[in-house]
Amino acid sequence: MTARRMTGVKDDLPELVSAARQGDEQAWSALVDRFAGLVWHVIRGFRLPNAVGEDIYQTAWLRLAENLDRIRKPESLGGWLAQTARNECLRSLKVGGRENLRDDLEIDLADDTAPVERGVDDEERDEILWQAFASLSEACQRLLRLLIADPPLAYEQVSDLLGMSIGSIGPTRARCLAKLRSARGVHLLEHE
Amino acid sequence: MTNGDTAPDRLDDLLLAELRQAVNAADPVPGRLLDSAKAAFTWRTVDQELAHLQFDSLADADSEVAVRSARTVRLSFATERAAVEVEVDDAGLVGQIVPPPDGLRVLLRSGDRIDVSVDEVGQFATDRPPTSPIRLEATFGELVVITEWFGLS
Repeated sequence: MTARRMTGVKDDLPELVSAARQGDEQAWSALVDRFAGLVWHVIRGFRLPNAVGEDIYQTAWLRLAENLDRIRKPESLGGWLAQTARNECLRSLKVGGRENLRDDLEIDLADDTAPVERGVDDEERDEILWQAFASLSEACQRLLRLLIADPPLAYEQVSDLLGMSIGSIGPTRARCLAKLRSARGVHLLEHE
Repeated sequence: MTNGDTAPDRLDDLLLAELRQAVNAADPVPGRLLDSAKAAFTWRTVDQELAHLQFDSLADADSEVAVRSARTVRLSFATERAAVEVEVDDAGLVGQIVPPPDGLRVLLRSGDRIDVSVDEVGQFATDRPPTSPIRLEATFGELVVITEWFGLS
């Protein structure tokens, strides 16, 4: 299933890009649908105010619309979008030496909710994982965001985006997931 | 954990897959942003010549200069026929276009266009700081040159 889907993704990307270049709006929409989450994850990995992040999101797509003709390899489109979004985020952090802390992700971990029971439903599982994720360091969140992007980024692209050597991605991923697992409630989910 | 050394990796993969679902459920791409990304296509420049970003003081890797004067951003755009230099800060923007264009407009994301006067050497200034990304459109007779989107944020 996954393999089939991934093959599909690779196969029609050149056609979509070429159709969009020729002005096909549907092809453009399909490109947006495919990479919407990737761009979002890149931006949300930075602690920027929502309004700034949303501007950057739009800018990334405006840039792509104008630079479609310059994308030489359609398969690099995801990487190009991710780089564009990241560059805009870094740029924005430098404006006025901003140190923005996003307020909407602050979660009060001291506010203990009911202990996690086995057999929690999907929504509860999601919520527990999300809270645990939000408690991780910014660096871990940024890395994991890139690793859960779909379609997936190659480690090489992740390495470029984070300025991290390819060899350290695996160990860092393991360390961040270990922290996630040790967060309250999460380990219980895996024992079901 | 029980099946040799590949088991922890497999557990990590499973956890990552669950995390993907949880994060996408809790923090999805807002619908209005999806709409705006789709609408970005209508901004494609077909008849105009796009002036690409050549220099961005904030993107300069040696960021000491950028950080010191962080409230002022310097940008350069160029096509084969024209060069655009802009400085943006909280007070507005100033810049110069070479060769001097016949007309200059600031385009806003909303679709609004604001005429800006340009002097005989191509210099211009506005006292409207950009609140969201903007672009400049310069006309040279029949030719229209338009910069990529830029802004302070």
